[in-house]
Amino acid sequence: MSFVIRTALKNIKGKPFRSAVMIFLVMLLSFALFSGAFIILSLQNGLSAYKARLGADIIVVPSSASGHGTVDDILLQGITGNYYMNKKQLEKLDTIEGIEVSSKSFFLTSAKASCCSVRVQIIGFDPDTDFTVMSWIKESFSEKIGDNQLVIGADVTVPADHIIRFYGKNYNVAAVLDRTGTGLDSAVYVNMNTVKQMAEDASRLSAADGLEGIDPSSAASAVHIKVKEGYDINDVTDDINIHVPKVMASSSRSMISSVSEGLSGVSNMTGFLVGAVWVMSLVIIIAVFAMVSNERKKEFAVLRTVGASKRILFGIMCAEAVVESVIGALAGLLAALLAGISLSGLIKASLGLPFVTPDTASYTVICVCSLFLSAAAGIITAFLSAVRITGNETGLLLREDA
Amino acid sequence: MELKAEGASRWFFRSNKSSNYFYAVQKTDFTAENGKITVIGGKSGSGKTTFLNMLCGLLSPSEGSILLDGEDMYEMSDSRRSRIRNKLFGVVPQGQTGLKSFTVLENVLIPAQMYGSKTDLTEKAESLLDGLGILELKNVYANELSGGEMRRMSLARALICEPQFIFADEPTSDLDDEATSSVMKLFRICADKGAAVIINTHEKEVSDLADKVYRMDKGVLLPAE
Repeated sequence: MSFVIRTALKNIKGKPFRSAVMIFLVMLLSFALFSGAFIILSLQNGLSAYKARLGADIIVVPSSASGHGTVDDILLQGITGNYYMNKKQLEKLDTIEGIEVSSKSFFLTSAKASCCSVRVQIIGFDPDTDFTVMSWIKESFSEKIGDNQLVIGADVTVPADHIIRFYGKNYNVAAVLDRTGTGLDSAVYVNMNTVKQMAEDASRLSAADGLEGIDPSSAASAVHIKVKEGYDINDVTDDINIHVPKVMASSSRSMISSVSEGLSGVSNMTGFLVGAVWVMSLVIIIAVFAMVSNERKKEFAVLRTVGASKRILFGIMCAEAVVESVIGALAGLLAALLAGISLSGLIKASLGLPFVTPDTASYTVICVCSLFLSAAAGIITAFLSAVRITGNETGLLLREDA
Repeated sequence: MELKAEGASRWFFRSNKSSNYFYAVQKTDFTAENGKITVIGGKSGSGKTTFLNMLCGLLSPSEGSILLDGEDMYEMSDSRRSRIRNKLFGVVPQGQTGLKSFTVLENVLIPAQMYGSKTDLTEKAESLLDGLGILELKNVYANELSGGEMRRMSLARALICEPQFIFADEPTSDLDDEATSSVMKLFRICADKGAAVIINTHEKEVSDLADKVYRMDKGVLLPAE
C-alpha cells in the first residue's frame, strides 16, 4: 500500500470523531439527494401513469356516484362502487353532439365473504370499444382479454394457483398490471361478458348492493368519451351535464390539471427542501473541512519538513476525503433506500396523489447520481482545502503554529 | 555537498509607525560546514527560526538565495526540493511535531517510507530510539508522549535517513541534562560522519559543545564573542 493511502487510512482511524462527522455530513447529502429524487420521480411516474390511464376527454358517471366521492376520487383513488346508469341515460348520452367514441365500464364491488377470495373493485369494460384500459393493459398482457379471465392491479395478491373466486365461481388470473400509484392498483379488470356474469351471480347470491332492477347487459357505471375534433371538450361536458339526467360529466383535462398542480406543488416543495438540505450540508462540509484543515496545519507542516511534496500532501488530503465521502455517500444511499422502500406506502397515503416508485433502471440511475454527486461534493471540498493549505509556505505554517 | 546562504533575507508584513513590514532576517551570508556542529544563539524573535527554515527549504527568502552545490534551492520544483529535504536534510522543527495517528516507531520511519523505499530501516529506527532512551515507547501513539519524549522522537525521525545536513530548532528545550547529553552525542556522531549540524538554541550547555557559534540579533547573524 502506498504511503499516501496508508497515511490517509491511519488519519481516518486515528481521529474517529472527526472522520465520523465528515462521513455523517456526506451521508446527509446523499440521503437528501436520493430521497428527493425518489419522491419527485415517483410523483412524475404517478402522473404519467395517471395520464395514460385517462385516455378519455370526458368521464361520465351517474349522480349516485357522488356518494362515493368526486369523479377525481373515483378515478384517482379507485373509489368505485355499485352505481349504474340505466339504458335510458346511456341512450340519451349517445345523442349528445361531438362524441367521437365512447366506451362503457361496469363496476362491481366484491365482498370478502364466503362468495369471494378477496375484496376488490371489479371493473368490466368492452375490449372492442375501449380506448383507455386496453392501452394500459397491453403493457402487461398483449392478448385480448377473454371470458372468465382476470387482469388484476399490482396491489391485488395473486394466489399460487392463479385462481380467484368471485360470487361462487373461479376465475383465472391472466396478467398483473403495472403500478399506477392510484386505487386502481387494487382493481380487477374483466370483459363485459364476465362482469355481467358476475353481476348476475351477485344478484342471485344477494352478495352485492345496488344491483336491484339493474340489467347488466344495458347498464354502465362509467362512460369514457373521446370528443370529435373541432368540438370543445368543456362545451360537450356541459351539454352532457345539462341534457342527460342524473349524471356527472367531468373533463379529464381538468382532473389531470388538478392532479398536476398538486403534484407540481409537492414536487416543487420537495425539490426546495432537498435543495435547502443539500446547500446547508454543503456549506457545513466546506466550513468543517476548512476548520479541520486549519487545525491540521501543524500536522501538514510536519509532513513537509520530513520531505512530503505538495503532491503527497494533496494526495493524503484527497484520499482521506475519497474514503470518507464514499463511505458517507454509501451510508446515506442505503439509509435513503431503506426509508424509501419502507415508507413509500406511508408517503403515498399521506400525499393522496399518484405515487409510483421508480423501476430498477431509474433506481440505479438515481443511486449512481446521488452517490457520485455527494461523494464529489466531499472530494471537491477537500480538494479546495488542500489547494489552500499546500499554497502556503511550510515555514509560515510552522511560524503560525509556534 | 555545500549549502550556502547568499545575501538571504526575509521580511514579513507587520504594521508599525515607520513601515508596514519588518525584516526577520537581514541580508545574510552563511555556509553550513560539513563535519561540524554550528550553533545559532539569540533571543526569542531574533530571526533564528526564520533563518533555519530558509536554509532547509521550508521558507523562501525575500531577497538573495539559498544554494545547494551552487543551485538555488528555491528555483527547484517543489517535488525536487521535497526529495532533497527527505533524503539529504534532517529537520527537527520547534515545538511538538509528532503525527498523532502514528506510533513512535511509525513516526520515525515516515521519511524512509514516504517515497516507497524497499529498505527496511526498522532496526535502525529502534537503535536511534534506544540511543535517545525511548525505545520502550516505540509502540505508543505520539499523542501519549510527554514534551521531552516527543522532541526525542522528532530527532530520531530527522536522523533516520542519515542526512547530510541536520537542522534542529531548539532540540533540547524540553529535555533534562541527561537527555540533552544523549542528543548532543548523537549530533556529534552525525557530524563526525561528515554531516553539517546546525542548531538553534539559547541554551549555553549546547553552545559549549558546538564547533562554531553564531548569534542572531534583530535579524543580523554575527559570530559569537
